[in-house]
This record gives sequence, C-alpha cells and structure tokens, in this order.
Amino acid sequence: MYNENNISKSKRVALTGVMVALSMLLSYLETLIPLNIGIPGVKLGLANVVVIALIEKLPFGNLFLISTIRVLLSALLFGNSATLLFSVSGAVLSLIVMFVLKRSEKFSSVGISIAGGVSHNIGQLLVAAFLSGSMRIVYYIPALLLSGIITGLIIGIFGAYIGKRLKEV
Amino acid sequence: MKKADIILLTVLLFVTCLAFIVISHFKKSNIGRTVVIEIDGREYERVSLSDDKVIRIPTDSNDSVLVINKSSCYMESADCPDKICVRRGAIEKVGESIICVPKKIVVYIE
Repeated sequence: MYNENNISKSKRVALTGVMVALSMLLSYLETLIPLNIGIPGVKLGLANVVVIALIEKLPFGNLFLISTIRVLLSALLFGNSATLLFSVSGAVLSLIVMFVLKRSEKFSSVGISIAGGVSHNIGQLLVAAFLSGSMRIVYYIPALLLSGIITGLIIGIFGAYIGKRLKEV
Repeated sequence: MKKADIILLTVLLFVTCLAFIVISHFKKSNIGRTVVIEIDGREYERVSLSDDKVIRIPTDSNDSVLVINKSSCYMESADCPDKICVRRGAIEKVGESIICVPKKIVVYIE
C-alpha cells in the first residue's frame, strides 16, 4: 500500500516529471502502431501503463497530473483539437473511476485498469454524442465496451507486472 | 486478480453482451421503416413497411400496383413495356429502391 512517507516530496516531483515524459513517449509510440479496426475511438491506451504501474507508489494527485499533462501535451504535439476534447474527457472520467476503485481498496491494479479502460471509452462516447447531437452513436457502445475491457486487461496486466518490478523508485 | 476484479470483469462482460443484443435488435427493427413512393420526382405517398397493403400508383394509362407484404414490398404489375420494376423483385432494406423509368415512378425505403 502507498505510504506518504515512502518518497520525499522532491523525489515525487521529479518522478512525476519523468513519468510525464515517459507516458508522452508511450503516447507517441502508440500513434506508430496502427490499431485500425474501423471503429473510431478504439486504441490501446499504452500510456496508462505508467499510471497503473505507479498506482501503489504515488499519491493519486500526481497520477492525475501525469495523465492530464500527458493528454494535453500529446494532443498539442500529435493530435488536433477534436482528439484533445475526446482524450481529455475520456482521461478525466477514467481517472475519477480509477481513483474511486483504488480508494475502495477492493480491487487490484488489473481491475482498476479494466474499469479505467471502459470508463475512458464511455467518456469519449458521451462527448461524441453531445458534440454530434446524434443518438446514432449508441451503435458504438458494445464495441467500445468490449475494446475497453480487452485493452484495460492487457494494460492492467502489463502495468501490474512493471509496478512489481519497480520496487526501487 | 482479486475477487472484486473477477466480479467487475464478469459484470462488464455481461453488460457488453446485453448491449450487443439490444443494439443488434434495435438495428434490425430500424431496418426499413417506411416506403416512399415518388412520381416524376414528387413525393406521392409514404407508407409504413409494417402495414401489409396494396397500393395503386396512378399513371397515365393503367395503374401500377405495389404490394407491401411482410415488411418488404414489390411491384406486382406495371403498365410499362419492359417490366423491369416487376422483375426487380422485393425490397426491404433502407436505401433499396424500385425504379420504373417509363412511368417515372421511384419507390424506395428509408
């Protein structure tokens, strides 16, 4: 379990900065992997590995910062304003859900990651439905739920594994 | 994975299956709601595909007869020389159409 006294404040700040850089790199790496299955909004969410790996080690505020700064910066660098809006809404919703599950202390990193993946997709979908004003978007719900579960599971297993190996941060 | 993770995964998979079923059902019931009949580019009649009926479409000579039956519709007879519209057979999906060029009749589903 995370303990406030584990890591000094300056170390935490430095770690947050480094992890923003790492997760941006992962975001970029993901743009190089075309996961095009014909459904908009489906992606691996590789950068979430960072959040899952550090979930036991950093306070949630830092994870929130890592995720939101990463989303904003990578949208500026590799995306556009539309993808920014989708990514931000997905990221914020999934962070809130992951925070709640983490707080409940009943879930492992894998469960938290699955919930994060699914809620990320739901957040995106809600914004897309709101922006387009079209309920036709509900057709994407099953596919986005399934992709959220699968990617969340993969990222969760990876993240938990890496987190275990990161004893010394 | 903890017990709560398994429960979460099961619930989410169940919800996904449910969503798949609901959406595919919704899509099916949404296919081919109305038949639109146009004569010479103007809308003549708009009928629900779910009511079985026979529609006589007026032309300058004998009427063309359109039959709506079991959520599909077809041209039963037409007073044109080629009868392409009759041979077109039944249509039932959104976007499908029966076009009779000599009589300037267009029937489509939306």
